[in-house]
Amino acid sequence: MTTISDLSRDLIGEILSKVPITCVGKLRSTCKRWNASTRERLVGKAGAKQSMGFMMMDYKVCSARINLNGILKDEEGSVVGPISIKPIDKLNEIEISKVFHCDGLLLCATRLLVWNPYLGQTKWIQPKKAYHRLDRYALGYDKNKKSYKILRFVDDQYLPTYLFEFEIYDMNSNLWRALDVTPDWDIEYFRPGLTVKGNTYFFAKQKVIFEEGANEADGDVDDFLVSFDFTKERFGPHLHVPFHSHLHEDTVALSSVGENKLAALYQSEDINAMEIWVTTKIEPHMVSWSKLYFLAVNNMIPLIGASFFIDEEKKLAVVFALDIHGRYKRACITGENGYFKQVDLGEVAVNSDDEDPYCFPVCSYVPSLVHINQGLVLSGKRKER
Amino acid sequence: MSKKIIFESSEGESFEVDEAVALECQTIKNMIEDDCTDGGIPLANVNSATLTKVIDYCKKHVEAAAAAEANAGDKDIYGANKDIELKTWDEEFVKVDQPLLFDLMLAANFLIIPGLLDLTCKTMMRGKTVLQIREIFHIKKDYTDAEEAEVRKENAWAFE
Repeated sequence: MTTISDLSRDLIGEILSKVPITCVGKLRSTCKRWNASTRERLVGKAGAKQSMGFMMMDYKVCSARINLNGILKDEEGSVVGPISIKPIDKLNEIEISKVFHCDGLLLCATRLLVWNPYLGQTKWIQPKKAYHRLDRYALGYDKNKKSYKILRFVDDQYLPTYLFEFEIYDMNSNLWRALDVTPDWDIEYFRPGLTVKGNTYFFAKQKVIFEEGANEADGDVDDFLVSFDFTKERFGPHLHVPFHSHLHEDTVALSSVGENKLAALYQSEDINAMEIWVTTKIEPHMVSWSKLYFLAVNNMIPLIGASFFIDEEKKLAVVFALDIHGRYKRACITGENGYFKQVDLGEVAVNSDDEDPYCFPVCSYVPSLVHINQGLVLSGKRKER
Repeated sequence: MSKKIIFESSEGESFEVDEAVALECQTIKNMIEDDCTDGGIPLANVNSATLTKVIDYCKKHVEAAAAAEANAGDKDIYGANKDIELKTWDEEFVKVDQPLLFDLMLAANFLIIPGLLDLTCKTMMRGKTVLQIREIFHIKKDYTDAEEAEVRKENAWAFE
């Protein structure tokens, strides 16, 4: 009788590739051969699509799993609802306040760590000088995926000293280099960029230099996307967004759809309606938005520090936000024809040190076999420093 | 009258199917194109029970594809319902015991029926614990307990 152990390496890889990514731990703990196989070929690549991502919640890095088909079940078969969020113990031993995703790699800040969860590889990145609480980061790659790079910048004229630094780190050479940038835009520090096809896009506003005594509220400034091209290592032109946010209270958030598209969420505080737009084309120098995937929800509760996942096929979005008093975390599942469902995610953990406790951006995750260059360690084995 | 193809199972039993049904198997499709199907196709590594199921699967999918084509004009909601119906059928189809499921997977791999290979692979591991997987597939545990715990910990992010 043929048993699974008699099968060729190829067929084992084929079988395992069709098992959902959520089973990767189970497959790997079955036997060493399967463990090795899943590191050569992606589990879940050919199987059922799972919406997964990583997010910051209550100061912890968590993985989030979303099932827009309905109800998730855990291993014992108990229903856990359409959304399941789980802190990652290993990462929460270190100080992390932000996560970014690019091509199966996660960049964790404030102390910089690059992590490939699928391969279980990690790499610490040393700063050139020191970390700053207002540091903005992005992870991307050049067009041949030869080199993964980290962008770091800070541009804040209101601090006691004017902080202005732009630099880039190359994960092959392990070196930081200063970039020559003269921005005519401002990116608010709580707005993370989003990486699509190796380049990062930020929601930005026209830079305004306030003069003494000028009234801030007067200024209605342009808003747009700004790209950072990791191949050319420079910022691109202003890219059109199909909405205009006047007020500070308006919500704008970015998310990705699959690996090649960007989605933007806009909610005006005035009218309590939410719009989600998806790009039809996105390059560092041009963007076009699709009306087809426009999703509008009327009478949406105002969002604070929102972030979201979108399922383009089902035209459903999951928006993570706080209630109006900022005390409870919620996920709102919204869709066509007024579909709306709210999932309660518990009370916000309060940490008085943090002025921005409600920011929990989600980055959707697509596993990859990208090995993190470990400098002299070329075996691809995990080695933590 | 459509052309018939004859399969022969490992027990030597003959199964006559429409050519359209046989074409669902890439391996058979190649053989038909190379004109070497006369006198039947012996499938020495597929037993009768498995072959019966494989033919059922192919028939159903040929019919579903034909129905979808006939309704291509007025797709919309109706088309979606058909999709759900076929999915439900598929799910019922793989509610079989583990040895048969495993044989179906092997047959789908050998005959190159991508849809069936997908379906059987996905189903084989579903809802089973590591212990059950080892028992069902006769896999020997080659980790120490500590090693196994380490592997599980490392992969805890993935929501198993």
